[in-house]
Amino acid sequence: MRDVLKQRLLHDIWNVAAILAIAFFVLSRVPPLATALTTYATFYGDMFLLNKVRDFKIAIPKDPVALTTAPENADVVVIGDSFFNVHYEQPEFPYRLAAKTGLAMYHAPTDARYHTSPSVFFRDHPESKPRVVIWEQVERGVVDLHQRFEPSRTRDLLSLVPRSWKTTSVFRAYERGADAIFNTQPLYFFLENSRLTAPIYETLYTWRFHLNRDLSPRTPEFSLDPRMVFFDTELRNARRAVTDAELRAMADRVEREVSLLRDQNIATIVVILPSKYTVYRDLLSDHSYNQLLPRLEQELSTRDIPMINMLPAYEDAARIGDDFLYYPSDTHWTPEASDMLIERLSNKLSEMLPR
Amino acid sequence: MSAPVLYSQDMLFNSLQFILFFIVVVAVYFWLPPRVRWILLLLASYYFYMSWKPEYAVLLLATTLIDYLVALLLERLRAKRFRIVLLCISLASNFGMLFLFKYYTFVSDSLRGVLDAISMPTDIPSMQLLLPVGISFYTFQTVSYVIDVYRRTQRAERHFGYFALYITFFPQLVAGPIERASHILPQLRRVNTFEYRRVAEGLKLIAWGLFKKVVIADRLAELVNLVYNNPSEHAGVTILLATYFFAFQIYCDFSGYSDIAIGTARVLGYDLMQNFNRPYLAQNITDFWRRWHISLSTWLRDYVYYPLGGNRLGLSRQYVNLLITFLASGIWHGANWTFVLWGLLHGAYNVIGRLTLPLRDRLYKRLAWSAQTIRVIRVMITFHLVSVGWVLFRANSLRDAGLLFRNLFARANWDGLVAVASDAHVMLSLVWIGVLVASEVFFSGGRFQIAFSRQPALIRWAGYAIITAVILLFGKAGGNDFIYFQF
Repeated sequence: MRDVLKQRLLHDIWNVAAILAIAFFVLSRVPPLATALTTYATFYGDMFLLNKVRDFKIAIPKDPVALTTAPENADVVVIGDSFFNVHYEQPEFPYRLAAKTGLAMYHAPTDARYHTSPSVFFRDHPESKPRVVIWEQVERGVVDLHQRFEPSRTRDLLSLVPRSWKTTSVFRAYERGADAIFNTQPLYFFLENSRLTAPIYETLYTWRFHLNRDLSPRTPEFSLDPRMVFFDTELRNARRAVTDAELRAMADRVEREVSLLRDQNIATIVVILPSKYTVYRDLLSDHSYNQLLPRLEQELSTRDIPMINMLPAYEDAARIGDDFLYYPSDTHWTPEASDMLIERLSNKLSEMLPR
Repeated sequence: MSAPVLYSQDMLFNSLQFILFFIVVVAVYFWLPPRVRWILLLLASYYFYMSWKPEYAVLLLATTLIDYLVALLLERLRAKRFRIVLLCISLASNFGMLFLFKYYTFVSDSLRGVLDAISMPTDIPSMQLLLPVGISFYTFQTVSYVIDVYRRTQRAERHFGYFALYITFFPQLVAGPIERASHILPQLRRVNTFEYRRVAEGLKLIAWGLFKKVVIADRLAELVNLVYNNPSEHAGVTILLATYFFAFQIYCDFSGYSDIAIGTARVLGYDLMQNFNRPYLAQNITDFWRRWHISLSTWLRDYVYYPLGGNRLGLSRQYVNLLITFLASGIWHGANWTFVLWGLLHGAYNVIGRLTLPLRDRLYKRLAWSAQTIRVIRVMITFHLVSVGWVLFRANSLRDAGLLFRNLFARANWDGLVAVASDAHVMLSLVWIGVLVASEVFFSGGRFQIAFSRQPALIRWAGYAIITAVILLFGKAGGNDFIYFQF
């Protein structure tokens, strides 16, 4: 009798869990319901889960505005990593740059293969013939990335499909269908942020943080201001000695990419953004810095590759201004910092592409 | 920062996505009448596979179709000549696909290198296709079925749905165990009910597998990756520690996967074969291969070693057969010279082990130590021989492997060890390894489960709560891939 009861109880619990799982999946796919039930507090950012820890939580709203220009129609293709994707409080960076310059701009999907080797993007998208590429990278780990990450040249089955087929309605329907069925981002987003489940995540993350302080493989280190958190990766990379040989190797790769694009009549603007640590390192007792950005700028200039280095401007702004250029509990820049780059890039683009 | 089992885009066993998928599949499975359950499992298995890359399901379907038809014809035809042609068609299509996706780039690059070296540059076309997840596993599974039908030790399955499900059954689709048709097909026709005891057993296995994967394997991976991805920057005991860690990482990663696979199938009412049996307690290399990745070892024994003649054609031929079989095992694991050497090394271990057996027996007899002491020594020696092999297995290239061996003996590097050991996570990893070793040494053959199931409910539920808490709070973040997915 007891066994029968146990069995019935377990089966009932299982069924309830299944119904809940189906409900979450459906809710996450119905935008009005998902929006009504979601706090939209935080989602993007390298340390976005840290924002779930009660001690560090800051509200970072999400703005869904994105660029829609097709790659084949773009004057400028923007290739970058998460800094160009995070769009806290504002539309994402390329959208704002397009609005400022009035140029047709395409934002390449965030893909490590692309932002380490933009030429791979043009191999994957031969229809794209822009006049300028803005190639953005972030200082932290950039040397290692270029040293160790030769982008994979592997192709999946879809890359074997003839280009003419990819524009057919059947193929597009397949892509839309596959995305609707297999893309789990909406479900994860819903679970992370819905009013029903977010408190569970918040509690769990807070416990994990207090227990072992390693919610991340990149354990954060605290500055003198306990509300400003730094990435361990940033600290290690900014403090480790980068040899001249390493610097030259990276410059070689950048030069090779720039030259590959030049062969296709595409000009490249190289942007290497400073890490938060580099800008705010004075907040830490040990603020040693390997001077990567100034050295890299100089190395590239000897090869006639102008690089946009925002470090001096950011350092000045950080000294003078009250606004944060980077979020205290995330590694990414705030609109104040991205606006400064937009200004610099729009000037540069108006020189390169006079109207 | 991300959490275990809470965030991953892929349908990994250690992802929240899989847990929700599994809960729904099990519930719907038991809601449905038994005669249509295979449809649900087949759809679920394809969904599971397609959540990685939908278009790759075409390959799975092609393999299934070809082998289904070939097997039916093999059973009907009597003429040996036609049967051999059919077998060759099946083997060519299966191994052809495997070669194209897994080995073509390796072979063409190697060939190009050789031709360049002898000043005969040739333009060999490059493919570099993305490897379909689990292709080595499902190819071996379907090949075993066709060969068994050819040998007439297995009836051809007439029901296409059941056959397709045998190939794609999601718990074992992407990383095994490599099941035989004779074990799985009869089970697919069985009517299963939601049974408390079996569901509870399955859930316990899943929890134990998750513990091994996210708490032990993924934690150990931090130091292992640090050292093995930067071999020139490490030396001495740091490399030694990273190698020991890798030995436990790969064991916990793969056996953790197998536990979850077996547990998942058990909840649904199916039994998968045991894939690991405390391999690091093996007393020699032959014994190790009886305990490690059992489904692959037995596959290689039945479809490579025995057909080559096994030990029936004299000693020297047996040694050649052993080397060929282990070479095949190395190549199966990956298209890299490191795996080729790793396979040959294990082949050589086996041959040398057999050659020196009388000598070692005499030595142990002369030493007159207790059986227990000798057993411990044998276990330690075997573990270290296997660990030498793991250096080749984990190194990113032959050059890295050479560098690791050289740096291992170049200097002791105690400073490096102190730096590593002062990391709280490394110490925590050692605690988890201790838990694992204790569980394997002191509780063989499910004795722990039996002892635990006899405890009062309060203690049992406290145990479940503790293991869940440990997984959620100490599990490594990020939903890392299982190592064997790449094979």
